[in-house]
Amino acid sequence: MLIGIEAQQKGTLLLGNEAVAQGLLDEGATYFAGYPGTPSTEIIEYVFKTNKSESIVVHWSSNEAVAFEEAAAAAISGEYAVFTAKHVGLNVAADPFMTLAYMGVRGAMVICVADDPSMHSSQNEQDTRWYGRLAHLPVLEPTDPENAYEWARRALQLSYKIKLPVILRLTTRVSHGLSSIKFAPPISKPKQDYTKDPSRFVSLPSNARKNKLRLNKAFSEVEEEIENPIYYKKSLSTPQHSLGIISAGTAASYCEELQADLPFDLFISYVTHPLPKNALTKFMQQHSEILVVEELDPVIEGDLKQLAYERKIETNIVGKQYIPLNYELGLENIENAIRDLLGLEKPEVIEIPLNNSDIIVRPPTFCAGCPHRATYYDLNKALKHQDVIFSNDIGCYSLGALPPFNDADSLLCMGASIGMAVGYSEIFPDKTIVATIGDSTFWHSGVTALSNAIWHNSNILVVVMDNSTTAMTGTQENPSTNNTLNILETAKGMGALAWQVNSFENKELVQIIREKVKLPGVKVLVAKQPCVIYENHLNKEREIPPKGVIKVDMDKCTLCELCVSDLNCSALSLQNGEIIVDGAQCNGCEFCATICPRDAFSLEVRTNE
Amino acid sequence: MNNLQINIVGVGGQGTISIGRLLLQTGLIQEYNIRGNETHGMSQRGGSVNFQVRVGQFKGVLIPNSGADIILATEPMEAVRWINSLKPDGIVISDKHAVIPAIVNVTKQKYPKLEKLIDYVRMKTNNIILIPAMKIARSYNNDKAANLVLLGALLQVTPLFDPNILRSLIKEKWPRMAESNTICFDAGIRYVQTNYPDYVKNRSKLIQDNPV
Repeated sequence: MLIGIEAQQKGTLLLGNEAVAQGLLDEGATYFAGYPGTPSTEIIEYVFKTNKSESIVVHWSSNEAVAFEEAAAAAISGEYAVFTAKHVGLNVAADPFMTLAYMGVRGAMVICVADDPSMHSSQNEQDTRWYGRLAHLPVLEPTDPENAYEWARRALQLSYKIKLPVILRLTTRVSHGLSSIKFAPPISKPKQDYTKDPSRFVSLPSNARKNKLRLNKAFSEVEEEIENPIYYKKSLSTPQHSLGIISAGTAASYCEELQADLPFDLFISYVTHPLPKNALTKFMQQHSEILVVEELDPVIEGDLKQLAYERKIETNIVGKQYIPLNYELGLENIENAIRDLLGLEKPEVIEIPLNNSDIIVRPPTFCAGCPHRATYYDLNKALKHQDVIFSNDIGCYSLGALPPFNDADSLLCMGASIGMAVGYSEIFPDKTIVATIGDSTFWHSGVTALSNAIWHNSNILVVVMDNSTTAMTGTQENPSTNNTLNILETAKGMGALAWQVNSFENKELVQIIREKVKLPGVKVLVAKQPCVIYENHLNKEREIPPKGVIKVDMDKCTLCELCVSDLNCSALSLQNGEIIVDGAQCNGCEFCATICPRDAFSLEVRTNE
Repeated sequence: MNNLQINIVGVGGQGTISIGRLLLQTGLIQEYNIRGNETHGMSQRGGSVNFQVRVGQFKGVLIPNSGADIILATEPMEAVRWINSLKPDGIVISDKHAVIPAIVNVTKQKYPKLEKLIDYVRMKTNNIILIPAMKIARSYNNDKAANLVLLGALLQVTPLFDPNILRSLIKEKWPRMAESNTICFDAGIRYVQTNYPDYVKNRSKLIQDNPV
C-alpha cells in the first residue's frame, strides 16, 4: 500500500483542496477539468500553480457539463481524469455524469464535488451523497484536510480498480480547512493504448441496456471491496460502551475529538456509498444504541435502518431525531446530541445577546473601483421612472441585489437571468425586463438562454457586466479573458441588437439604456471594464504603478451624499459632516468624479507606495 | 485537553487570513499539531471574516462556541460579533481602529463608540487588550501592517509561538516590505510589554493550564 510510507517529518501547510490536488497529482492524474465554484476552486488552481509537467492537461472549462465531458473522454481513453465542481455544479454536469456511470472508464476518474453546508457561498445546501445513489457510483469522504490527501489517492486507485468513476465528496470545512499534509511518494499512471469499443461507449439503447448490467456488476464489486478495513476506522473500548456512533465526513472529525470526554464507541466510514454492510452489521450488533452523526440529510441513517431491517439486527438506531438536519455541524451540537441521548448534563454556555443596532451587519460589498457598482448606479438612474423586473444571476454582480441598488427580483441559478427574463416578458408585457449577468456566467449558460430569447423575440434588455474574469471565486480565466471570445460580436452574430460601453462612461451608458430599452426584441448591452482586483494584480506583475487616490474638495462639496448613499462606494464615507476617502481602499477609478454634480473630486497620483 | 484556540476576526482585506496562515506555519515549524480554517468567497468583499487556529490534540477544524482562548481582532466591532466564540474569561486583543461598514451611509446607522463595544466584551471577560495597531502602523507609513502589530501583541500573551520564526516568515512573505513589516511586528510586542505587563508576566500560565 502506497499510503503510510514515512513522508517528511513536518509536512506542508495546505488547504484541504490543495491536499486533494497534490494527492491526485501524486497518484498519477493526467487530466484536470472543472468550473470554478466555492468551496471547490483551489483544487484546479493548485494544479495550475504547481504542475510543471507538459503531459498533464489542466483546464478551466466553460461550464461543468463540458468540463465533465472533457474528463469523461480522457477517462474512457485510459487517462486518469479529474473533474471538479461545487455541489450545484454537478447539477449542470448531471447529464453526462449519469450515463458515464453506465459506460464506466478505462483509466480512472475522480469526480471531486465540494458541498457547502450552511450555504456560506451558495444558493442551496444539497447533499451530493444522493448523487452516488442516483448513479450507482461510489462516494468517498475524507473527514478533515489532513486525510484529504490520502482519500484523493485512494479514490483514483479505487476507480482504476473497479473501472467506474468515483465521487470524492468534500465539504467547506474539509476544502478550506488547513493542516499539515504529509506526502507519500508519487507514482505514474500505467500506460494504456486506445482501442475503439463502440458497443460500450456509444450509448444507443441497445448498448445502454448492456451497460446497465455492467454497472450493476461493477457496483457489487465495490460492495465487496469496501469491506476491506482500510475503508473504515473503528474505535472500540473494553468493555464496549452501549452507545455506538456511526459517522462520516467532517462530522466524524468532531466525534473523534469528543470521544476523549464522552462514553461511546465510534465507527467512521470513509466510503458512504455503498456502506460496508458486514462491518457495520457487526458494529451494530455490538451496541444496543446506535447514533448516526452525519451533516445534512439522513442518508447513512436511512441505509442503516434498511440494513437493520433486512438483517434483523436488534439495536435502536437514531439520527436526525438528535442531530440537526440543516446547516453544518459543530462540536457543540454533536456534543449536546450525545449528552441528550445518554441523559448527561449539558455544559452551561452563556450566550451574550448582541443588539443589531450596535453590532451592524457587515455584508459583502462591491470593491472600491468595481465596475459593477458603476453599472448598477447607471441602471438605476436610467430606469428610475420605469416599472422594472430585474432578473439577476450568479457572480460578484449578485451583490446588486443588496442596498442601495436593490436590483434583483429573482436570482435562481447560473444563467437563469436570461432564461427567466423570457418568462417575465411573456407574463408582464407592459413592464421593463432587465437581465443582469457577468461574462463567465454568460459563457457558462447565458449564451444558450440568449439563443432562446432571440428565437422567441422576447422584449428584454440583457446587461452583460463583462469584467473579463471569473471574479467571485478569485479571478479565474474564462472565454472573455484576454478578449479570446467577444460577447458583443457573439450577440450581434446571433441576431440581437447589441452595444458595448466602458462601464465607467456614465453618460453614454445611461443614454443607451434610456434610448434602447423600449425597442422591440432582445437588446444586449455589454458594460465592459476589467475587474479591479484582477487589474491590480496584473499591474503589480507588470510593475505598473497604481492610478492614485481620489481627493475631495470640501469647499465644493454640498454634502448631497450621492457618492456615499446612491453609489455607496466602500472607499467613501460621511463622517462629522465631511466626505472621507479611505486611501487604503480607493483604486482611483474616478467614477465618483464623473457623477459628482459639484465637481468636488479629483485624482491625486499616489506618491507613497 | 492540551490546546490553544485562537479566533482571528476582522474585515475582508485587513490581512486576517495572512496572520492566521503565518501562525499555522510557525506552529508547523515548531512541530505542533495544527488545524486551521479560513473563510473564502463572498466575505472577502468587505464582509466579516474569520480565521480559526487550533493548536493541540484536535481533529476538527472549527472552534466550538465558547471554545476560543483568545480572540485576535483587527477591528473592534468584529471582536464583539464573535464574542460568543470566546471562553469565559478568555483574552480579547483588538485594534482600536474602527472600519465603518459602507452600508451605514445608506441605512443611516451610527457606528457605536468604542466604550459601548467594550461593554459587550466585558459581559464575557475582563481580559481586554486594546492596541492602537492602525495608528502604530500608520506612524511607520505602513497602513497594511496593522495586522502584524496585532500579531506581535499576541505573542506577548502566549509563549507558544517563536517570534524569531515569525520574523523570518514575515520577511519571506513580503520581501519588499521586510524591514517596515518587522518594525511594526516588534512595535506590537513592545506595546503590550509597556502597557499590559501583567499579561506578559502571566503568559506562561496560559500554557500551564493548557500544555501543548
